[in-house]
Amino acid sequence: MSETLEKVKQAIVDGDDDMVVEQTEHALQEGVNPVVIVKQAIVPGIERTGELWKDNVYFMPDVVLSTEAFKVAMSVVEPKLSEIETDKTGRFMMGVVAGDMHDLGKSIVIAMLTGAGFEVIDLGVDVPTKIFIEKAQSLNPDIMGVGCYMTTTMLELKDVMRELKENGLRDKLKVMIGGVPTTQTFADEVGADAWGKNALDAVEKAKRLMGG
Amino acid sequence: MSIRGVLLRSFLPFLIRLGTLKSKRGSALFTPKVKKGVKLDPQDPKTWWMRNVAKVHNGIPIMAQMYDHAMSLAGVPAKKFYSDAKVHVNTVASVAAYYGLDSATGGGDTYNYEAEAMGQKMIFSENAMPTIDSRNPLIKEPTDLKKLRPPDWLNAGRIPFVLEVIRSNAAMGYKTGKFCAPFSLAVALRTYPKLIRDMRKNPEFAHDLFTLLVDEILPSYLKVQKKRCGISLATGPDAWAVFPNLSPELMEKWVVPYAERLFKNCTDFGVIALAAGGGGDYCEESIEKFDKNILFKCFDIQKKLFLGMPMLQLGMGRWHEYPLETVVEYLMPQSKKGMRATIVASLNARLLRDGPVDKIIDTIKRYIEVLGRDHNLAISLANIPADTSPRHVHAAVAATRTYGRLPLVRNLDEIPFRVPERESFQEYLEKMSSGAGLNI
Repeated sequence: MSETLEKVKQAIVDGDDDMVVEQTEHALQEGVNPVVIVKQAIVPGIERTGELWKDNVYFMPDVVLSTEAFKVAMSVVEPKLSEIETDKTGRFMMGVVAGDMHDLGKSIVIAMLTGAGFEVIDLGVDVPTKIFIEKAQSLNPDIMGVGCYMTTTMLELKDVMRELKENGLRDKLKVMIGGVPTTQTFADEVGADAWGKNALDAVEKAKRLMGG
Repeated sequence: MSIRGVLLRSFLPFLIRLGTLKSKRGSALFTPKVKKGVKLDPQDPKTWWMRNVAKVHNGIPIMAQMYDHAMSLAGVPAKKFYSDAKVHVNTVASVAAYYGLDSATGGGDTYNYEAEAMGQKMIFSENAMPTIDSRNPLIKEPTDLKKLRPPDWLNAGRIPFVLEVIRSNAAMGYKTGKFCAPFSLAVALRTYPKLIRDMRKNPEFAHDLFTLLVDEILPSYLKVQKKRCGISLATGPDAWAVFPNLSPELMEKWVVPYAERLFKNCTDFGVIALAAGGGGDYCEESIEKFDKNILFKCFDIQKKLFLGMPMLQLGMGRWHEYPLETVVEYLMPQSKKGMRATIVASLNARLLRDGPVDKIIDTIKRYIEVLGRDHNLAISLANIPADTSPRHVHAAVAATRTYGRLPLVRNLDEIPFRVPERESFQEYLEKMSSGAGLNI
């Protein structure tokens, strides 16, 4: 790996968003293919962060800063990537239910999924059921991820699942749920296909749902 | 610095500590002093609860954080529950009476009030607790700090609601003020990712923010609480200041010093402000990642936040569990000297919601067996999920009452136990209110 790509990767691991912009732009100026930057520097960077988290070396602040650096790096290369056809693991649409503004977990999951090769569509937070349905119809995601972080808003999931059925969408996509108050029992209750215990678990299960 | 402040700083922590060590039911921080002989009033659920709790003697106390659950069980709209003090307090008191809990304190979305009063945009929905609009933090840029001033604490946001709730709590024996601890308040105003970035890349600004909160914003608020509600003790929950949201090293640097500074500032006007509600909790989700050394560092931080008092809040109760033996090991040096610590052991909220009942009962029995013999134990049902089956809560309360009778019997297995068959909450309400309901 070139020295610049190594610096991009390290800046993501270090959560240094200023450095990651500088080095990613430098790599592009050097003529490095943006796909190579993503595959050899940006994705390995966020993967390394995940490993350090798993090993109890990194804690939440490190992961959050690393995720922010990842997002910044992607924003630098994305305009160039859109000009190139790339293989995607699958299309993952994700949002947090109505009345719920918690987006920390969602941001981390999105970074990890993107790193794993998914095309991720972020619907944001406080997403009404109606929007989940409309977007599922218009964007045809392979997987719909629904997050909820309060014990009241988790009940919104029942509405989302009911509306998916009533609109004939339930069999056309897989549904994953996640968020602090959720459990496998709750996922079973609402009829979701998988429950993501944390970001790494969510990525593994999303890959499995895609047959990986 | 006033003489009164110096005296308070010197002696009150010691007195609280003494009270904590002497009481077998734990500190007054957790268990209210309820008046005896309160007359039952069908129109006032506070009296239902006070009558209930006055009958409980010599038992390990059981408390609950249950705002969303109480609201859902009673069928009260969120907007009303989180803004009308009478509705809020009566709903919580009636549900606490139904379950037979030792506490019935109102509070609500404690992390939001100060930020909202200062102008932070909120999201109010029909069925859920109000929440901060994290897309629009009040401090978008460091320069916004200059605009931050203490609001008119008597009228801003939902502060009048909070003051009324604190007054009602005091009338029920829990004379304690409430505030959002500095770290969680900073998160509310800035968002967690931005605050973390500030702490690393712009520490001067982050220190300025915390200093403003503990020197001006929070003391001015607690002064108003003292004047309007007569409190001299206030506690501040700090759910953001836990591991792994922060490493122990970051807590030592960013949480402990400002909690101590706030304490000092408030003693000057006669309030003991403990920014200790949950701060320093060990909340790692994966048991495979359990690290005893980090847990012990977290406990050290909790002790500092409680002014050196031997008090531990076991955060495992929220969503996960770790070995209880490590808690015993941590407390061993003081146990050997015959000193009892106060431990609030919380029941896992996921377990409480999902069950099964047998596991709920076994968990409480184990808490009592391992932690209740040498220490002052209190059981907490930490954030009962909204749609939890009342049967699960009744089972938890009954298990605490049955196995937690003091002094504890040598072999808890010899005590017969049966989950009580209870009427529904609506039936209870009908009976207690003579058919009038909650009158809200």
